[in-house]
Amino acid sequence: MRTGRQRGGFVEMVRRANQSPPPENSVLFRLATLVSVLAGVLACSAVGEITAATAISASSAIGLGMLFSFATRRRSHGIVKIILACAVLAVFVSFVTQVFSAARTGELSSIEVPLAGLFTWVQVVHSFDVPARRDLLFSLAASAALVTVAAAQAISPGFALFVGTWFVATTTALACSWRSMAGGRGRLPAVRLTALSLVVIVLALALETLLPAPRASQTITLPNSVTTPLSLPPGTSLTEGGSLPTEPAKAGSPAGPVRVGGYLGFAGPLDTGIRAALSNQVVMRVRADRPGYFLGMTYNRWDGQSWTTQSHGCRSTTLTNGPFEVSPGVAGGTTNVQTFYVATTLPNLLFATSVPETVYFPDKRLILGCDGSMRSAIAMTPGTVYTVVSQDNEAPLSVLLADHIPASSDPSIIRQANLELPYPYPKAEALARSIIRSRHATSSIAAEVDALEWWMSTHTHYSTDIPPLPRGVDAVNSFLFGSRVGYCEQISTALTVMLRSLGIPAREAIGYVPGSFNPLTDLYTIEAKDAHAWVQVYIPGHGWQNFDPTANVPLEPADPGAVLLTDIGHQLARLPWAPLGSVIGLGAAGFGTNAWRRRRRRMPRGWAARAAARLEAIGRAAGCPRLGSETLNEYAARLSVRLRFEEGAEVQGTALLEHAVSLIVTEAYGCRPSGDSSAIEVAANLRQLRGLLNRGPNGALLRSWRPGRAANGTA
Amino acid sequence: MPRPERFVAPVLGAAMLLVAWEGVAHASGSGWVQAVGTVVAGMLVVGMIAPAFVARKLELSVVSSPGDATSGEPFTVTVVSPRGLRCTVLDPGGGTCAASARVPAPVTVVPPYRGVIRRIRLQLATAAPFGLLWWTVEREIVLDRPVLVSPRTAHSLAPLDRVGRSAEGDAAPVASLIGDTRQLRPYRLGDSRRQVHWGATAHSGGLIVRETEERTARPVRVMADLVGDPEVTEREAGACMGTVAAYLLAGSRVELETTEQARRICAPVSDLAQAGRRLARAGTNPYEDSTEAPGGSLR
Repeated sequence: MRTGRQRGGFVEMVRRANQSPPPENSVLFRLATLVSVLAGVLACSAVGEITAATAISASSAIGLGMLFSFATRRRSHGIVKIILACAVLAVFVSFVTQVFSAARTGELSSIEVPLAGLFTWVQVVHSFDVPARRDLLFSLAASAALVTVAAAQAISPGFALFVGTWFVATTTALACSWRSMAGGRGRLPAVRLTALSLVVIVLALALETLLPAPRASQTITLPNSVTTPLSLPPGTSLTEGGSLPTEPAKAGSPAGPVRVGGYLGFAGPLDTGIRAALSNQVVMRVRADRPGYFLGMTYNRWDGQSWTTQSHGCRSTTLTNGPFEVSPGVAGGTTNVQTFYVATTLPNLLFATSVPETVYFPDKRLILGCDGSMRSAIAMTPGTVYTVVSQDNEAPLSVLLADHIPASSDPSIIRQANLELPYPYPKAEALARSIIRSRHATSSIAAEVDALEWWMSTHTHYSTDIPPLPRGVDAVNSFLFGSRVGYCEQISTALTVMLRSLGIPAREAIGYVPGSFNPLTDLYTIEAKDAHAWVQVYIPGHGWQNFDPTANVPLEPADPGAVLLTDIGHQLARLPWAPLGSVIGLGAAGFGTNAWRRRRRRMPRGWAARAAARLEAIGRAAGCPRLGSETLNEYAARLSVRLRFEEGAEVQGTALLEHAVSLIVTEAYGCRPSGDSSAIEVAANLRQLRGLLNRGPNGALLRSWRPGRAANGTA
Repeated sequence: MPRPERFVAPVLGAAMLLVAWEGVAHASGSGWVQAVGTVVAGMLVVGMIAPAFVARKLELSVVSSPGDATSGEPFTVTVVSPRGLRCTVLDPGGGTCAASARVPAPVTVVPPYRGVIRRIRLQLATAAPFGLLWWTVEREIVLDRPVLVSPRTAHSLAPLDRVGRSAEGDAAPVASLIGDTRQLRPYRLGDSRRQVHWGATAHSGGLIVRETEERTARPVRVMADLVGDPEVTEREAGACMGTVAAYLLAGSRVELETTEQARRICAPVSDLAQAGRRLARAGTNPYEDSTEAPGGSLR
């Protein structure tokens, strides 16, 4: 018996779910839903999950489908449903086939592309059968899924355009849906909707500030892909980047910016005598657990003006078949997963915080330099994505200062390669020693480096506006005993040379510092101007440690909430408040004046109209507003029933009401004006009428109905 | 105080959706997924909480209501509201309707008992602005005029053979302008020309008129004492209605004796509508609190 009832209930539920709901007639609802879906499709196309041709054809088909659905919303078309069901089945089979043929183990991105295709084509098929509100709401939910699938691949702040369009369209569609639920008539309350949208945005921002920044899960996916794989010619060590993705790198030229964003440092030699202007061109976006110095390569040979790399018999290694174990077994550091999204053609260097452990790169080969730098065998074109898992060995200064390991314990190869100077630097060495002595920093290597860093920060000035160094002049002597004005390359080179003169192994490191953090994308945006040079000092027991006498690089992950709030504050502070305030003030004054004039225009003319308005106000206060279709007499008849007079004053009140209304109607529609005496009489009547009405304890008129009161017999 | 119509399922569903969303964001490491998720969360929160604030301000005015109704049969009250809402009749029971803002909407009321309905208790619901979660409030509206709900016509309690005979009556017939012909007589001044019997006039040579008579029947008095349990009084009122209907159908004059507002009223009823109104007002009103003693009788 019970089973039968349950089965009947289920069958009934299925039957009810398949019943044709009433057709949805709102054009605005359909338009808003269409825009919402198209925003999702175009977003998928923008991030490369579906091709432009697919996006265009799907968008056209969705538009046509919506039109067809609207035209046939009142008809029951069983054949169309069968055809659409077959189409959905075909789309799903295609999706499963794609997933099984293309899916790579543990990579979410290999599923996202077929998933975006599936969602898009399901939307196309579904758009031909959206006769009712329920179907349109399904389209809205599916559009949210589309936007999310697109968002999973989005790294650009420009994606906000799609999210914003989708949000506006979805909000409008939901408001239309509510209007349809409540009878389907009336206009959308635009002002209220705008206010609510602002509330939604504020809530979203608050949530965004509270939630921790998302971090890529190593167990599911570590993104690496390439859109245009360009193999490098055999024997190519380092490429030029910029407009020449496969060209071997050449020495920097003072003639102008020849490389990415104008930086000449990558590819060597690093000539400290020349400098090109660095631009704001975005070169990479990086998602990193922790920001740090994204090291590209290091230089160990100094010739007085330029840095070059000397192998000292060491040969680069080629690793095959990723993921590439760059430093297997390295331990003791903090795991830092960094995903680099290349935005412009770069030299074929891979950047990472030290020490890189595993590299996920979309190629079969990876070349490992003697200095630990990593190079690809394909050009680093825009759209290339790679992930490096580093074991960050950045030790805090306090730990380094506490270690009293003598410099003589360095491995000889490191001493040999990183202590060489082209000629003695007696003045620089004397200066270094005097600084260390004056700072009493002889206890450890770190203490000595720290003392020299302090001196650099207090006695030198950072400026990129310096004259080129004449040929044959030593850059370090010129800087330390000359103007003491320079930028990262001069300052770090001077520190390196001073350290080497003291017998401390040091080398010049170049790469990028993390640029600005975008709290929406959770990515560090690295621009060409973020290229940087700093010093690596070999400290026994801790390996190569970064010391930066120029910049203060944050080593803690950025707090998206704090950054978001700061950014909003900065943007607000940057607004030109004086002219903006004037414009807003003028606008408000204009709006106020216009509203006042409109109100004045709407204000009733003549005493009869004013008296009628007063009567309506009394009725409204008593909970019985006048209907648009009611004449004044009809309204008065209704009021005489609905108004709640004081005990025993019903007859008098009704008489006053009728008399006042008859005078008003005579004045308004009679052939002869009834004169001022009628106006005074009506005003007196209405005053008296108001006085006879029953009032609550707070003096307000008792409404003709009120929850709770009627039950007590006061209604 | 507004209450959500369904709370656990939507809130749990929304929470699970957002947790899954956040999970995807963190698994993929994508900030944009999280950003879209926060926007969706904002929409869900506003869509689920905002109706509570709207529901607090829901109002409804009666535009029109009928004067008569029959128990168990629907009647329509036209209402208007400044906001769009869904309206369900709680007491005395009825249907549900959707009302657009400032557009009169018909609310179907189905009264279960005879009586006088002066106010209706309604459940007003709104899901504004996004239609995601319904919040409800209860409101009571006073009708612009009372609806007199007559009882359903049930079987007559009077013996059917008596109904037929009572129509004949036992009283002596009296002269009247209509009825059966009693006799023919010569014309007298003042007689109506309609009474002239032309056949007899032609036969006799003098103006002859027809004299008619009508049998008088004593009016049947139906006494209804409808006090007490609504179910019992409803049955009795139905029977009373059936009895009145049977007598009226048989052509009898009927007097209905009822207690209305603590006054005993005995007055003739000429049709069923009048009888229904009398019975609606009689005795205990099931739609209002009553302090009268329980029990009821029909005599």
